[in-house]
Amino acid sequence: MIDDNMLEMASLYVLGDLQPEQSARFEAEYLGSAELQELVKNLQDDFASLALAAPVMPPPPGVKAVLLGQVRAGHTPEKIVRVSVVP
Amino acid sequence: MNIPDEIPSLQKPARVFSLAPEKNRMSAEEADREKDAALLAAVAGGDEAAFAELYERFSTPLFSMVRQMTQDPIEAQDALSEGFIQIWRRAATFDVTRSSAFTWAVMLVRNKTIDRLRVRQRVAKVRDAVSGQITPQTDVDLTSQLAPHLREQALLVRQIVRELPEDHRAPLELSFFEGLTHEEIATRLETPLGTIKARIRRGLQKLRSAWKERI
Repeated sequence: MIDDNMLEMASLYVLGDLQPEQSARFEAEYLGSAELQELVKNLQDDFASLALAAPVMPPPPGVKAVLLGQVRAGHTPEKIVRVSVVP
Repeated sequence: MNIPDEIPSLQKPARVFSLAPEKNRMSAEEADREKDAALLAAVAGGDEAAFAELYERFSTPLFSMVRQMTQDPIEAQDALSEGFIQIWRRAATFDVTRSSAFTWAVMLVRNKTIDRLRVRQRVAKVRDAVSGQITPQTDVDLTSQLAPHLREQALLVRQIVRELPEDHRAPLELSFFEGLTHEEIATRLETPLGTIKARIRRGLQKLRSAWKERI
């Protein structure tokens, strides 16, 4: 059961407003609680959904071709393991 | 606030979608989320076709976001390109158990755009240029150009944001779209820091409650 204090901590964590030591304590709780992981995931989705509140504007048509050209020119995906919740 | 309202052309697809049984609707959205995640996994393996398809699905909402953040079409184009290169390079870091693919992409591109704004010392200029509210750059609502699963979400989130009290909405928007720190927001809004922190936190929790009520 997630209490109000943990809800506050989860919100601050998603907003990046925890001090390093608070963040470390929270992540220890996070790793041990599936319920907390679900809450953080939902809060992150909510925060990211604000992107959809912006007026919709498609990118210029030439961007995609340039990007694909850059990718073919040698940018390769990194093979690294994610270590933090927020990219 | 000047968030564009729904326009008549959007009502038909939205109504058709909402007439479907709730279970089917959620299944369709879940299927879309799973497809996004599968595309990201393929991108991590170097699949250029998957990258192109992911671009088709995400580029419009991501460009809209960075356009709002930068208030500059050229800067926005550069930010989008840099963001997608990061998506290509860092796709392997996506963890489906921790976020949706769209959330991951939004946060990655948003963070890179905030870095760009700060490095180029554009933050002060943007602060002077915008009021801190979401403002449309055109008179035409192009929501219909979003992928179907993001289209309905966009209409919902706009409604939810509109319903937030102004003193909760403004700090949340300044945090998200301008990447301002809480201290910077407190200065901008001439409000004590502790109050701003509480309002942003409550604003996020109100968003959570609103989503839970609607979905």
